[in-house]
Amino acid sequence: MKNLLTYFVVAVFALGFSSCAQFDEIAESERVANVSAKVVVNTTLGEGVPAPETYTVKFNNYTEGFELVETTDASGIVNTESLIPGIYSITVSAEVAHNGSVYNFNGNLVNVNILNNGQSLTVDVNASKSGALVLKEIFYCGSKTPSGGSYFRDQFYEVYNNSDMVQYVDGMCIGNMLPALATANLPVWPDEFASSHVFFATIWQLPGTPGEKNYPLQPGESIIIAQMADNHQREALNPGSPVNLIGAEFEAYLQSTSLIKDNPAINMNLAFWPSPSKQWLVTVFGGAYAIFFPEAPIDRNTYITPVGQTTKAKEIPIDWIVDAVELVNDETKIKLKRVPAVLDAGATTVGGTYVNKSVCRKVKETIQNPDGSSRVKYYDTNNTSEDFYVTEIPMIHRDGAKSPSWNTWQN
Amino acid sequence: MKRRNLTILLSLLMPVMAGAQNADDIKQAAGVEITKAKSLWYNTNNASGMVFTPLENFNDVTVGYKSNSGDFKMSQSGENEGVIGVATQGALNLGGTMLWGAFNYENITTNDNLYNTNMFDPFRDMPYYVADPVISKWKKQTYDLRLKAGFPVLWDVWGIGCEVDYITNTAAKQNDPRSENYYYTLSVRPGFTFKLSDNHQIGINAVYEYLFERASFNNSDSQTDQNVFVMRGLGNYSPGIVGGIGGLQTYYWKGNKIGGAFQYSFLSNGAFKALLDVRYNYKVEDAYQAPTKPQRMGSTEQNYMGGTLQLLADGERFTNKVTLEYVDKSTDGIEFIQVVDNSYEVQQWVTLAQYVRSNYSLKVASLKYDFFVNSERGYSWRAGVAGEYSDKFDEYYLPNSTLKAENIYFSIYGKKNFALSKKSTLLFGINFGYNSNIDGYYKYSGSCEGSDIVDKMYANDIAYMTTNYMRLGGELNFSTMVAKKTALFISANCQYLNPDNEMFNNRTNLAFSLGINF
Repeated sequence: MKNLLTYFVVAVFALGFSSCAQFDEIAESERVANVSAKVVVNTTLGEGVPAPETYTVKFNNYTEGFELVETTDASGIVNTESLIPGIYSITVSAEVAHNGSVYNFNGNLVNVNILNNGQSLTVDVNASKSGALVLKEIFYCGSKTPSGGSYFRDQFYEVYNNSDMVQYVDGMCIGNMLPALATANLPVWPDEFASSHVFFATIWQLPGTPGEKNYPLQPGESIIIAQMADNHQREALNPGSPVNLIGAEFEAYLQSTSLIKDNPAINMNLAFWPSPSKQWLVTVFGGAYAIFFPEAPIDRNTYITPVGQTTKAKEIPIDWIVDAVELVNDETKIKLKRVPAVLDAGATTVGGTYVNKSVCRKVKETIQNPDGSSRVKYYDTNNTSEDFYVTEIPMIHRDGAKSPSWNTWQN
Repeated sequence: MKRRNLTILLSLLMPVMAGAQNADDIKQAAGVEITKAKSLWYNTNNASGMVFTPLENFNDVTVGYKSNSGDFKMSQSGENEGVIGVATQGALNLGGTMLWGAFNYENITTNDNLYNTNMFDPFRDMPYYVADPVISKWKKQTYDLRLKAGFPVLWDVWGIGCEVDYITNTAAKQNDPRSENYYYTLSVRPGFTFKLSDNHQIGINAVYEYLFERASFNNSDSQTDQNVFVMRGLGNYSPGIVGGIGGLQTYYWKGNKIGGAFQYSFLSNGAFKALLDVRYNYKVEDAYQAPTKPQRMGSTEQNYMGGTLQLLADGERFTNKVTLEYVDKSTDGIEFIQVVDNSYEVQQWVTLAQYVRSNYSLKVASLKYDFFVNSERGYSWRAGVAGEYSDKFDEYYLPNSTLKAENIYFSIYGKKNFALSKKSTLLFGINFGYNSNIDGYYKYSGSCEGSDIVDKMYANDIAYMTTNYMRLGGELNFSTMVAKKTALFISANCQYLNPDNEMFNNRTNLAFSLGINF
């Protein structure tokens, strides 16, 4: 009984102590009120690049589901007094047509704390021409088999010529960046690369060398890059798959297995993958992808690692990147961006795994060709949140995109 | 630890149960009702005063089944609920020590619940939880142990007593997104009374309560992630996922309540007794996600003030009792702005700021009058009227949303205790109530406009809270002596709620029980 009493007294004191700490923490709370903020747009204009008259500034507090859109004055400044205190992504954008080209101005600040009145924030904005080659549609989440199983071999990436001129994809690279998943725990990269490079887990390279002209892509044509360029709807694979990729132009083939074979598609070269497996499976939760033309050969044997980690990555200069798309697990992860704003100021998601959905660029306009045919021009503001939508079902060569003439094996 | 606590409390209850074997008399349902009504100090949280207005000895054990069905309900209540329970309670004057103890076990099955993924009781003033739109079944169990002990008056002036409640609950949601839930509360309320004279006593008691709830998520279909709403109050939520990498992790809530109460009682030498009980409690509860890397999901800070005045005229033939009560409860909802500090030494969520984002207020004033015609079996009949005014006002400050439900509820009830024979009695009761809504609305202006939470859940709930309705009920309790100190009883209770709103049909509560008084 004496021990019991002792335990009781000790327990009461321990609980009392913990409750005091809990009460103290709560006492620091103050009633919420709107906060004001000022955003200054700092634009770096290259030679011959026109300056926009105003910029659109978007404040996104993803936790609150709060969005505020403002327009800057002529000096590139916007003041607002109606923000809810919180963590914001601030996206600045503008578009200017000049001398037949479209210039996109993009900049952002991610995970900015706006907690106090009068905070002044500067957003650096860079201009880029809309890319000639764009990642048009990405099917990454996989599909369900008729028996309810999960199938991921039907992932594909469609690269489209969004310009008015023929483009060549010889030596083009495609890869997925690190970290593999959107996370609040972003790796810390070595200082000499951190702001000037992006970091890839895997890189595949189309045959040839940039500058060669063996694989032309006319305006309105696209190539399909498949994880496995097979007819995924056949019985042995997944009759429930939404796609038949037997006519894909390129595939990431490494070795044959009972399921994997060397299909008619042209095999890409493995440019970097420190620990390859039998197939190029990029996370079905949503990766960050980019296409680029290397200005120097990629040494597959050298790599860098994040500070304090052993993950091997290939550093690629941001200047090389032609197009990048950031995809995340679900809406709650959009704020956890991995890709620099100059490449992609946003992110999107199909919201689940094995849900038979893809992301595809929105159509900006339909252009009539001189021969009477038409082709589609897609949005390319370097902001995936704005440029992409989620499709109900993945589809290759959507919106009338054509295969290149050198693809002689497609049905 | 849980088993040890249970053992301790059961051992404290044992004298109550064992002592009943020596009792000269037994109390049946009517007797239990009236002795509780007369024991003014029993109806406070200061057990030390029970020696001044003692309960008469009684014990009962009940096995029962309850069901609730119908669509006149809050969204988060089950459309159909079934409860199988075992309950026992007993009161004993043991050498001047007044003891009361109770144990209640319930096995609860609720069907067609909505908008609650992970809380045992989504109505307990905690706006930070997870909801989903899937119509779900829940299985729940409750173990409820309560003890009041008032010790003999020391030096003819000092009364000492204590109340201890230990309630533990488990629950499991049966449809994806699922959760397994464990929830317990431990309350300790030590109390003292000081006898100013034979007629006047004052009392004071402290309140300490600790609560802990933990809910882990899972999906039966691991391939399909489930979209959920991470609730923040008054219809505001952030989207969340159960399942997959990056899905929501185990939620847990920790709360502490402290408080106290002051009592003054007047016990005249005649039939009149009065007791004023004034209470204040302060409670803080924190909601977290992920025990290994805790992320604050919100906190509540609650101030509770209450007062109860009991007036009792306890004559030989009649007993009159008036109870006046006022409660004012205000709960602030606090949200945190947190970021992960990835530095090697920290690797934790750190708080940048915290704001009071919402407030949930409830004011209730009630007046109740009970009249008993006394008899050897407790009472021969009783009647009563009650009125309750309630004003609920919730506000989310930014963006501003408000909810108000102001109601007044009247009820009238009566019971007749028929002496069928020397051994048997039949207690028959009826009650009628009417709720009249005075004012009510839900005005939402946040970012979740058009969502299921705003358009369905809150639309249903505000309609429920502001609907005029009629309640009609009846009860029967047949009791017969089966041994010298043992009576067997069966009872049934039915309550029917008929709302005056086309959105709803009705709600029916049925209860059947079989038990013994000894």
